[in-house]
Amino acid sequence: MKRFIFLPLFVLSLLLVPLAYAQTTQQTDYQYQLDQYRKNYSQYQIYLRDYKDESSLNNEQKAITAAKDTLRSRELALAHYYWWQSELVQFTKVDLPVVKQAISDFNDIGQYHYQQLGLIDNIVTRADLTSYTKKNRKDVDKQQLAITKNQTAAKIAKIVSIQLDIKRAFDAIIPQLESTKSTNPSIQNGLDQVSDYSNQVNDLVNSLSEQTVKLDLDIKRAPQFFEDSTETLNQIHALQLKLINLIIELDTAYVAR
Amino acid sequence: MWRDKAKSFILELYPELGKLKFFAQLKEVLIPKLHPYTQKFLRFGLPVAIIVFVLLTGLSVGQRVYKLRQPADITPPPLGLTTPTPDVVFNSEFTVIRDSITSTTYQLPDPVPPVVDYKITLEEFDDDLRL
Repeated sequence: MKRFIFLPLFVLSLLLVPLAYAQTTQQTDYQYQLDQYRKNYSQYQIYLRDYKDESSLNNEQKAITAAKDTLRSRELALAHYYWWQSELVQFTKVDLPVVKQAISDFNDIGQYHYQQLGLIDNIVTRADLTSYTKKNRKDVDKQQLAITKNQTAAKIAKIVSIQLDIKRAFDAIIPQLESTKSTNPSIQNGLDQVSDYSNQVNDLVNSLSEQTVKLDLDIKRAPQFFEDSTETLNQIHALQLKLINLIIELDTAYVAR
Repeated sequence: MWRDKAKSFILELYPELGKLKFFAQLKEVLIPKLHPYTQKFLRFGLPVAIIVFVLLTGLSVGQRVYKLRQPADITPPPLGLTTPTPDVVFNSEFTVIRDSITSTTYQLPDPVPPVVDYKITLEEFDDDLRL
């Protein structure tokens, strides 16, 4: 019986490219804008305190200006953050509907935050600022479910890309192992373990995918969901490490060169 | 003849020995007359040389006897030089994948989202949103 690593059922066609972790432009821009936000936020806090101590028109105007600067840098930081997220998912080159959805959603959310700059420029009075903040908070709150799901999908994409790497490595050595396994029980044992581990990985990935699809933030908040998911991810990590170590051992010990 | 020569030589060096009966029957001097300095040198040097000779001989004999009584040193035969068999180290090409797994973060969220304040305002309000 031919041995091969089973892949999750929703995998249709896959082309694997190793993940590139070199710092991208989006990541650089995000880090810069985040620094700007922190500086502006500190300034805003100072002017806000002055305004609360003495509610003069001058203090109010200074506080509004500082608030607008903070809002601009915040929205730019968030825009670049979500575009960076989109890039990272694209790097996996995993062709899955859920992954494509994650790329698209991250791009849209980044675009939303970028478009806030125009709205921020229109803020003049204290009431404008409050109105803008209320609406912005509602919009961001609505995004949380998509963000949580897509971040999990992005991680699943990374796991699948690694699993494809492992599958490709296994496929490279399986012909030689199949021909010699009858004379060496260790090879048969190794092949059985590979099949077992890969099935466990697939089960965990499927389980995590289902939980992501069914996620309801009214029942389980994002931090709790991430915590539970991380536990599953750590199990997958351990299994993938066992899988590749097994394949390396089979490669070094039993594949003739 | 040589016994008489030896007796006359010793008598020449130690005339006081003429009183002994052993030298009494010596008829004539069979060795040439020695120079006084030579005679004096030989008179005192001969006993010293004999003593030294006896001591050295005794030491030599004693050392030989001592060595005979010591156990023989057993020296193992020299070992031939051995060349260790070089271990062929084969690195699988799939270690790159393992490095990728170990360097990947299996935690969420990744990357961690920025911590920002979504309530930038000059007025307090409450909207029951947990942001």
